[in-house]
Amino acid sequence: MSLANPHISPGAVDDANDTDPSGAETDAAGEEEPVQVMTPESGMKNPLRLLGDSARDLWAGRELAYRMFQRNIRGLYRQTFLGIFWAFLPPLANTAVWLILRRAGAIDLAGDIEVNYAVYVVTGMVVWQSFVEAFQAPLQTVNANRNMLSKLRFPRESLLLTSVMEIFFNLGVRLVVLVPLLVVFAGWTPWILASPLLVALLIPLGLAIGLLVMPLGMLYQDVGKLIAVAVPVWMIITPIVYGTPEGWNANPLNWLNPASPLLTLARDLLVFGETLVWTSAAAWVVLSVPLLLGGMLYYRLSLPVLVERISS
Amino acid sequence: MTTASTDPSRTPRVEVRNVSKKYCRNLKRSLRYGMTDLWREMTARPGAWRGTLRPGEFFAVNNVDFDVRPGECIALLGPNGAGKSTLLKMIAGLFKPDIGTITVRGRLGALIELGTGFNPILSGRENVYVNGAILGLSRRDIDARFDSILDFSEVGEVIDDPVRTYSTGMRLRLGFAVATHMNPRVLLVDEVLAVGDVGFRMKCFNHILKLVESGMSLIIVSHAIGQLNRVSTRAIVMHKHQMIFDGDFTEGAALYERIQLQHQPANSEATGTERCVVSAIDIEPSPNGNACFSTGDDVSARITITASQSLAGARMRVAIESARTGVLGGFATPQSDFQFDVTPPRTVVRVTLPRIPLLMGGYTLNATVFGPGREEFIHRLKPGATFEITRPRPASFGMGEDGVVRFEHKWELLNASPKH
Repeated sequence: MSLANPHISPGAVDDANDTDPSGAETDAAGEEEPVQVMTPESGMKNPLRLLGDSARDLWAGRELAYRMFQRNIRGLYRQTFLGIFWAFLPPLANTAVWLILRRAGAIDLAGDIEVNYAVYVVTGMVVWQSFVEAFQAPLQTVNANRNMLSKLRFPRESLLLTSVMEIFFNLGVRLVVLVPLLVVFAGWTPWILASPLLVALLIPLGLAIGLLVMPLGMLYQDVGKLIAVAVPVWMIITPIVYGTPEGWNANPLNWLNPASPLLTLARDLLVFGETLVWTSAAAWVVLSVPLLLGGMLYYRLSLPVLVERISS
Repeated sequence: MTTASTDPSRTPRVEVRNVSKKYCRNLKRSLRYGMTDLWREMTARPGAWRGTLRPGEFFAVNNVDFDVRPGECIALLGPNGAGKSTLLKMIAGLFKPDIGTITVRGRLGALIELGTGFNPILSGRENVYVNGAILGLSRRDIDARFDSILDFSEVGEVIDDPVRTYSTGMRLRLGFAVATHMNPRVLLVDEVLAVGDVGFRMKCFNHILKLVESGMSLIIVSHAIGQLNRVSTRAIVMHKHQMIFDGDFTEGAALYERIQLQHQPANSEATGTERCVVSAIDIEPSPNGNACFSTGDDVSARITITASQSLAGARMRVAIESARTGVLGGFATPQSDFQFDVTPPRTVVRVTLPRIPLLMGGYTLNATVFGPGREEFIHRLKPGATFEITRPRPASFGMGEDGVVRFEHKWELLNASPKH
């Protein structure tokens, strides 16, 4: 065997790849067979095909995702005493903290809130929790499945799909508690019927931001530590425990904070039935589409690089 | 490719073309390189950067090139760290080659670690469905195969107990059963069959053999040459990150065993002065002119002792080691009442092993020289000389002889049926 020529140009590999019928081949039985060609080339040479592959794997991985979702939920609740209650505990506990602070007179945040403060905060917390779960999901799921990722081939996107299912599952559990609270303490508004959709508006955005930080987070644990520190701060600068500030649009912090407009939109509509943040919320909804697509591309491209570095 | 597809049985299922992969042992550096690689991947940076080594990097897989055709079973052999697992992971599509192309046609199954994805809290049944889905089976596929998976795994009624309560062997069996029942066209097996009891291992190999006969292609990594011999027809030997052999299994296995023996740390021991040492052991060539013999051949070795002063009444001990099992045995000159004196500068002794009873594999012969006194150890040359037994090919599944040693034996039937 001769030594490898380190100067073989990737162009040559590319040519070989192009002449290959990389779609599908028919075997003797006439049954379609997948053909997998691995080259050093970057998938970014053809981002549209990459997105197509991503969509295909998302579809191919749906059953696996559902299985893993089932596995996680069952595994989770089989070893807990309180079970499903845990889905509702974080927003409840967070709300309790602020209620206690307020009762003690430490803060006065609800000057202009005309409804029950507890319902106002808990609604914001439920919305926030879904956003944060989506934001943290990519790094968490890739980390939790690193062993599987470095040993088995399966549609990578199914991990994200599993996370999304879990986020919606948790959201559903929370809404079961939240909706009656809203109706009783804040009054009925037709927007309550759209509550899953309103909260869901934040999930693609959270997921997209999470996807963009995941690869770096897999290489350096600093990212995970930073996220743990940053999330509570982020929560405070998002109008959850206090009312929508005066001159909302004038303060760039409000509409530059990706969580803020959509959270305010969802919470305001659910609690008051009206909101002032339509424009910036719409802008973020539109923006979350390319962000999510970019995040998916990045996810797909980065995983092989990450597996190479993190596998033992 | 279109011409090849007219004869599907000849189209390679796996094509590995001039594949190289860089590796960096230093974690900090490796992570930094990971960052730059991410950036280059995202920006689709053109050029030859992928094939260029950075400080601290080396090729863990260096310019490897081979094909695997339908129904072929390839044993991927090589010492630890030769690059086998990296190569296997690239074929499995877990990461990309830095140079070269890998093409895999048909559904690929990889047994790189059995039971990956098993949740200890869930039952065996639930885990079969999860694991099956990971490997690409739909619910209906698994429903249809569940009984044969259960049957094969021999797990029995505990299938509905949490996997946490299973023994390692049971987990392994269940994992293997799921993975091999997905009817892959190409199966990669990495060392997973090293564990488990003999009976089940036999069953696994039998099953694999059946799959191979039905046209599946198999690449198997193992250090257990004796087991591979049952299924493999072809061997690829990797050594120091390169492919140094691709061909007949028996030859490859013998070469691999020789590499293993050469990798033993040299520990030529001596006491006192270097006035008397075993300086060389030379195997006399076989009828084919090399160190490859058949079982039953006479094997002779010339042992050279270099000495600066004479030693009367010396003793010599020769030991034979197998790459697979270690020391097989030794014998010394007093056993045969052979007496010799060491005279300077050189004394050559010839030892012959008539009708050698060893079966296929790589062996070493090392020699120790003693003085006349009971505890007068003088010098041992280790590793000594290596030789190979390359024929006949051992039989599997109780069809002939196998293992390391040929036993003289005879059979008799004792419960002769009573006369009428």
